[in-house]
Amino acid sequence: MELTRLEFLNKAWRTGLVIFGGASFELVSGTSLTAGGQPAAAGKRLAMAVDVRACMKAGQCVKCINACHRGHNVPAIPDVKRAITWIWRDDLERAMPGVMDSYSGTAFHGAKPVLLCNQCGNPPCVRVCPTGATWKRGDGIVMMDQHRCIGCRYCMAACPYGSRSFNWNDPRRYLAKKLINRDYPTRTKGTVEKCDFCAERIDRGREPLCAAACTEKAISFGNLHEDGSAVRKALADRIALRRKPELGTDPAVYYLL
Amino acid sequence: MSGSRIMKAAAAMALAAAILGAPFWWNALRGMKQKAPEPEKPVVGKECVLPAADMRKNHMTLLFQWRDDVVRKGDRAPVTIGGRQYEKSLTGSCLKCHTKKENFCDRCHNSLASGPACFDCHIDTSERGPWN
Repeated sequence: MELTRLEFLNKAWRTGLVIFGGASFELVSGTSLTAGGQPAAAGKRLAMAVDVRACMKAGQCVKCINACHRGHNVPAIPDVKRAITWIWRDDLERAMPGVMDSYSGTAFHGAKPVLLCNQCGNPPCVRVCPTGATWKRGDGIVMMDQHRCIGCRYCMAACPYGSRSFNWNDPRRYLAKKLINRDYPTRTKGTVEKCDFCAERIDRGREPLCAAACTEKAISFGNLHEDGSAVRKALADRIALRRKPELGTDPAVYYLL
Repeated sequence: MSGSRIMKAAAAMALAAAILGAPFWWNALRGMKQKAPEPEKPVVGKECVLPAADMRKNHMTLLFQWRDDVVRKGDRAPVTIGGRQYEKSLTGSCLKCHTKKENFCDRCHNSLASGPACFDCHIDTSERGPWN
């Protein structure tokens, strides 16, 4: 049977559609995000609200950062390119490009609120992780399983917030043995790590270390879907922004103005 | 002519086998046997989460199970065995009784040259810890 060029092309694209169509549908519809195999805890979405004014008032305060990094054995690596950060402070302008200009929001110029993993409702890091080392828990926490991480850093490329850090070296070289928290592991060379809203504390009914450490009460934490939770109370009478919501990641960290 | 060549080849092969196999026959002649490792028994607890024979064979499976429960499922409910509660934790439970990692884990693992990466991240909570 002789095929004309047109017939061949027609048959080729139809065959391709049959073969790849199913797979691409799954990609676009994004149905399997809870790769951990957990049933979604009904109505639970843990979230955090950071009061930017309170955070500004505290000046150069790093109590939350210290509490987090000490509690989780996060090493202080002097080389910024290799540094590990779970929570850090950066310019509001850099964190949320375009929210203010020379005339609007001048009171917030120079503000450096704390930034951390946004525990996205639609996390791009989870989508790209090839081993299921990062996944979304039923309560909304984007969790890391260090046992499964192979250090490919796809998640770091996917995260639009720079919330993830890679261990270029053995982190233990930068941790003081005396200051180590013996109840929490370290990480190892070649793995990615990030904030997980203190999942180990939440599972024991306690709030995250940063929220507990803040003396300005700038960090409210709780279930977004529960009326009267601390985070809902904080969000009720203030305008809040989230980082880059236009990307569709649905962040769970709010910044109260 | 060809007969002597075969003889030569056979002799060379026998010599090579003797040299390459030296570690085996030398130790066999000396009556050497691998010593069974002797992990230190704990002073405090008398009963482990599973019977000793089970633990010897399956402790890694149990640890993987605990790891998956805690990390992947967020299920940190303690396990109760013989009326005692155990946290699902390598450092929080195992090392509480087996207080010296180097006298317990390491003795078998070193003897078998099996090196799991547990303590690359988990903290050795014994006196020697947190790490070396």
